[in-house]
Amino acid sequence: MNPGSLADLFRLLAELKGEGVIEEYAVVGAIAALFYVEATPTFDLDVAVAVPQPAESRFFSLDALYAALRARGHLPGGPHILIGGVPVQFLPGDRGLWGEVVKRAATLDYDGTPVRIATAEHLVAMAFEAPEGKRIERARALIESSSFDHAELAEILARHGLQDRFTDRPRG
Amino acid sequence: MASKTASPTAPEVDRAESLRAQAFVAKRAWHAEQAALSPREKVAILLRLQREILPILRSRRPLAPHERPWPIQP
Repeated sequence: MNPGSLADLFRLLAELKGEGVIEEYAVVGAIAALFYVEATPTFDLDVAVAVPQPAESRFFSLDALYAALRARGHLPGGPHILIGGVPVQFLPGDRGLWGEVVKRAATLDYDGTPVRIATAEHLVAMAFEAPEGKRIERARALIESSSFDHAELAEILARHGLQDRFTDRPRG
Repeated sequence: MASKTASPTAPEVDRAESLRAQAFVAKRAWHAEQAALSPREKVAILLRLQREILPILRSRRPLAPHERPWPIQP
């Protein structure tokens, strides 16, 4: 399958989940953020995934997912897998904050296609877990958005010991 | 007659502040409109932004291999 649109790519994620290649997933990063705030430039699509792990494996492995994608003709390019020309980066979402992001993602609508998107509060927590210019800017926009749940963010930060990293405050 | 370097008068300051305030209100409204677009409309904007910013990025630094406009429709 070569996605002609982002909806096709989201359908592929659902397909991989249906086949059991992925246990669960959540789109994160700039593409997730645009479900809540205005679009910002990005050149890749980040997806946190929980995948079944072989019993003998002690470490998180994306091998089976990569093999399933390769079988569909989607090949790795650096840290990404190119899916119809879109660089997709799959990131472990098995435990800790990232595991929670995957478990509690919201199923949202993209042009008629359901897709699991990290919540706005989780996106902010992730930004403060690994602060970087663009991520912090996005977090600020998310915090200022009308539907943002500040109490929920406080709970997430407390659960994952991130309160001290949360130094930013909304403007105005 | 006031010289060119004279300090602005109170009405001039008021006028400038009012223009700035109007500009900020308009800007906030524009950002709110952008944020309220559907995800598909925002992806269409993203695809356009990718094409527009690439030459700027290229002029500043070498591009990473994945930094290319996505060959998809929104």
